[in-house]
Amino acid sequence: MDFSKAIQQLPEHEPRPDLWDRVEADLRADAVIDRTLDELPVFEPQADAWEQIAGRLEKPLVRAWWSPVFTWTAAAAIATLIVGLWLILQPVSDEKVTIAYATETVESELGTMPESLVSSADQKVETFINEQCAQQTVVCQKPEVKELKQQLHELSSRKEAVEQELLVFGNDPALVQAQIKLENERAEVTKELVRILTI
Amino acid sequence: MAQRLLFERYKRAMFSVALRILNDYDHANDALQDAFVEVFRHLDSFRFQSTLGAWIKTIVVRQALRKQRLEWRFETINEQLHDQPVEVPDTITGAVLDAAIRSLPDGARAVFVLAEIEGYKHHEIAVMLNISEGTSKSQVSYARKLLRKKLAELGLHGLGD
Repeated sequence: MDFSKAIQQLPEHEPRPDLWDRVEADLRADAVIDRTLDELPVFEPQADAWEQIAGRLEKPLVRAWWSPVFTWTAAAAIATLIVGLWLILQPVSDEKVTIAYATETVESELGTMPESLVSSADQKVETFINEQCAQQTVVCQKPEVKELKQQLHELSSRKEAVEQELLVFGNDPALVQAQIKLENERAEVTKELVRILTI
Repeated sequence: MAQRLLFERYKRAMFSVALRILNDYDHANDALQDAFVEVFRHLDSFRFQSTLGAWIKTIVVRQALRKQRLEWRFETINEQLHDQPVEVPDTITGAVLDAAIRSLPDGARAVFVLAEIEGYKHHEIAVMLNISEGTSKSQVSYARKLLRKKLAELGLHGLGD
């Protein structure tokens, strides 16, 4: 059976007769809602809100170290990057080079990640990608490579935003989870980029 | 006192955000207080990457989300919501819409407020609520469906009721 032909000959079906009326009604309703969003009321907090805040600001800040309960399974982006870079930056030889880029999961307590190591590894990966693209311009013009580079850029921006929020909120569990997720996604995208660039 | 002036300038807008997210007056007041304490303690870490108002709002939003002790519940979309085309009256007021928003289920309300009123992007909401971007988008769609239905009902029964 020729599937592509069969697919082209698939029959068309009529939607229910009042479908457009429904779509139009929804569009009208959304327009009314959107217009009215600008007119939402604002509310007053309780009258002594400032006194409460001022009272708390006068008290000395006692910031407890975060409980070890919040030891998270941190995505080992660091390990990933270091392993990847170590393999990538091996001295050139005549032998066939095999590049492996793996993602590992390690138990790591928050705050123990050496930040300078991470940013240094990030920089080296970025340099590697840029160098490869300078040498292999054709590969880097491929849509999938462009897409991956764009994804990496966006993930890096989002990671920076989360890190900024972590400065304010400390080890907020939701933020830490988000940071781990973003690190994992960055590691996966980086791994795929390196794989394509080193084929 | 500069801190007091800053608080006075932003308190109503920020309290309104917290109240819409939490739909609870006391919790919203707690969130506002906690947020402004954080703001003043971390003012030196503000790096002008956004406006001061946007930075404060992010702190208020996060504190409000923290007040919801239980996990946010995200109801699934009921396709039967649309048995009849809905007609939302043109004359609804901000107060009526506010009441309708506050009648939404917790999860849908929080996502709707963050996306449609406060202008956060879905990937930002995903981080805030620890959900996927897809869930964030579908909850906005769900919230809109519920709002249309609610507002249409109000139209049928008279907005003054």
